[in-house]
Amino acid sequence: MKNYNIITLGPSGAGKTVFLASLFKSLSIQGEHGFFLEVEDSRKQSLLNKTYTEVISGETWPRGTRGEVTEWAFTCCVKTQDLSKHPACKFTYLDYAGGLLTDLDMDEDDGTGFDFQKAVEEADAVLAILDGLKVLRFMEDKSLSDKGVSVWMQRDLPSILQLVDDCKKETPVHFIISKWDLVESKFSLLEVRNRLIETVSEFKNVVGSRIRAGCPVRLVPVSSVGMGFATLQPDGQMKKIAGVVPHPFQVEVPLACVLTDGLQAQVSKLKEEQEKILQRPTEVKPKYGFLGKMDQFLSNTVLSASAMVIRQFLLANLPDKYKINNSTLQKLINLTETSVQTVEGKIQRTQEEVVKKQEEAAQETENLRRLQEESLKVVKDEETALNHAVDSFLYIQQKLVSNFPASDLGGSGV
Amino acid sequence: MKTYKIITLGASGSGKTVFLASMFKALSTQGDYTFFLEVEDQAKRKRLNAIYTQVITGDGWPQGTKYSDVSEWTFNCRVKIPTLETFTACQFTYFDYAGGRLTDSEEDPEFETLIQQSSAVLGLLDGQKIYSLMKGHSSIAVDSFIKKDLPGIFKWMYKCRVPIHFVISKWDLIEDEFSLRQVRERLLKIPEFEELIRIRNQANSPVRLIPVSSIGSGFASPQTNGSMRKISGAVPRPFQVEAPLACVLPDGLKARLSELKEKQQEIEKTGQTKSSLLSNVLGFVGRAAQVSLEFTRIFIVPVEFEFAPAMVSKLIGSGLERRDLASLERAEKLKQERDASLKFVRDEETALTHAVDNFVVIQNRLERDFPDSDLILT
Repeated sequence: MKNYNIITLGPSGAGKTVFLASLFKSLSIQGEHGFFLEVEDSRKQSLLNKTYTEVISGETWPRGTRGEVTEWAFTCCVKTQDLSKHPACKFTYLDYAGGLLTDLDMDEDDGTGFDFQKAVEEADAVLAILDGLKVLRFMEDKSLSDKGVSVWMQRDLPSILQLVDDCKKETPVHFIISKWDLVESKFSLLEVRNRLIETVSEFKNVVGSRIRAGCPVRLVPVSSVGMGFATLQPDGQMKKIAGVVPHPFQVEVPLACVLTDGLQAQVSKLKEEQEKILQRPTEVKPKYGFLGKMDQFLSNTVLSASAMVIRQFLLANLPDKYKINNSTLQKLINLTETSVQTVEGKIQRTQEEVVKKQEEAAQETENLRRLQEESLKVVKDEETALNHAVDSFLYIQQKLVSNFPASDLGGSGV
Repeated sequence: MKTYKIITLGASGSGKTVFLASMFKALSTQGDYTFFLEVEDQAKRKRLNAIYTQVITGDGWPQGTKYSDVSEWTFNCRVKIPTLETFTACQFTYFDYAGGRLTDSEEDPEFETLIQQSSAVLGLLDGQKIYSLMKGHSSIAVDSFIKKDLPGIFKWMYKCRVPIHFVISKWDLIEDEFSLRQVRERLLKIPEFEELIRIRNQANSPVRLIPVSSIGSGFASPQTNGSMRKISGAVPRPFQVEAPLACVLPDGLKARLSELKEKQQEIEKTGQTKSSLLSNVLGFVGRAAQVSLEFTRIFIVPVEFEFAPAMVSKLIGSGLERRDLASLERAEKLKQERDASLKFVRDEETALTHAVDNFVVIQNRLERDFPDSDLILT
């Protein structure tokens, strides 16, 4: 079974473990998304459940992770209409005490030093977790005089970004903003994004270099408890509101984007390599909507001889974990440089085009939902299950792009 | 890989580690300059990030480096090309000597060995004390700066002949009231300082005075009571902290060539060789490249200063032409050359070439903005 390794990067208290617990909570039963997650190790499963229960019903919030690095392996499964279960692929998250990333008194002398750099280089995706509460303080503190904000800007973010800078070109990077329920009524994602770029030079440098190289980078707002579950008290504590049911918000997005962004990045890298061989310097920027750019242009694009060569090269050279028999993904592989350039031209859009784009995005979301429903009907083994899961991932990704245009850091944000 | 050892000297509390943390802050990701620094040891990287944070938040000031403990900070100088492939160009190791040790007067063989192997010496001068000195305040601090701190570092500087970079920290405190020229004139009134510079000038070994600031101007403003008040909304931007690192190669090479020239003259005097042509050309720096290469085959030049001729003229040329050409056009030309060479980076050698292009840009800017930085006595 295909396995994808994800490293989570975030200082202590950012909400790494709680995020994983709510991810599991929200995907442990197959619902809207057409797939569900299983935890291999039952002991770990009950640990995640316990953490989430503590989040929603405990007097306080869970304490930070201590001790060694933990692997959380989730099997992504699809249940068909006759209730048979088919595993599709596996996601393995690496979790650890956040203090390891920033605190001086951890790991220097006790010999348990965890090699972040190596883990980042080997990961299939990097999940950098920005603490939503810190993001809120950072946005509110116009004078940037709060000490906590300074520590976050000068220590926590640079520590994460210096590591993100080490990851390979084909590794998707997802910055998630946890506790989005605290931020959303006060600031838009675009405002957060702009202020990060303006005031944190490491963010600007690292994200900028990846965007220019055509790598997928996203900023994804999530909330483990959803809106209206807790309120921020004047003393900085978060108080749970009695009687409110938690609805995890967008926690499935980073998981869905691991595979779709990963494949786009792989294809883009291989195309560059192949084009280098063919001495046709072009840049492939896999940053626009999936179906939109494909259906619009593929139909009227005549594949040139070199495009066929590229296609064969891609099929032969994609890593096994990205060889997926999904017709939507196949279109990406077929995409020629001509059509990419046409999309590039179109992306410089005017106001009315923005409106049109939004309508297109809504249409695309609907198309993907339909595709996902249809592919569920033909699931009969691991391959078809994965095929279906990928349709679900594409649907989730498209919904994100549609609801939060600013989340694609390579896009204009509107 | 070429490795450059730099000794940092400065009294306890003069801010050696803070300087390194600020340098890392400015160069840990590739942005304004097309190279960046990587700290190999992640515990040390964490520490530098934490120290810089303490500088900004102002509390829990880092304790002085533990006595008897030479802290080594190794930075890989790396170049990331647009496709995100990254190449290491060279390595800089800073030896942060425990402050307490330097003011002791005993002989220290370990340190003397190190000083012989180094490519540059970085002397840290506390900007706060310089400010008091400039204001003419008579205080214990100023007194001990002149009578204890400075002699403590000069003592070691006399023992080596590599380039010296005096780094004046906290320049943001000084810049509104005093120019670098005024500071330089004041320092030259200190006899030991003047003597050190004179000896260096005679040996044709570069000495520089480099103003830096960990936070940059416009981040905090001094209050009448001596404290600092943070300016609302300002983000700290380290000022010129990259300049000392950028000057290591050009100045180091210049010092090595001067040394070679001296040796050559000695040999000619004793009549061992009649290659007067060599010395003539060596004196003429414009063509120094080829000849020095010839010469380095006879006399051992440390591997870190073995460069291809084009690189030598780039490094030395920048020093020679600077008087006339430290202009905007020149800055523009150097930047263009640098941006062009990024396209050719594909291995360690080309990465070093590109890093040197960056160093030359930085050095040129330093000389344009601070013509008094180069300490040459008239």
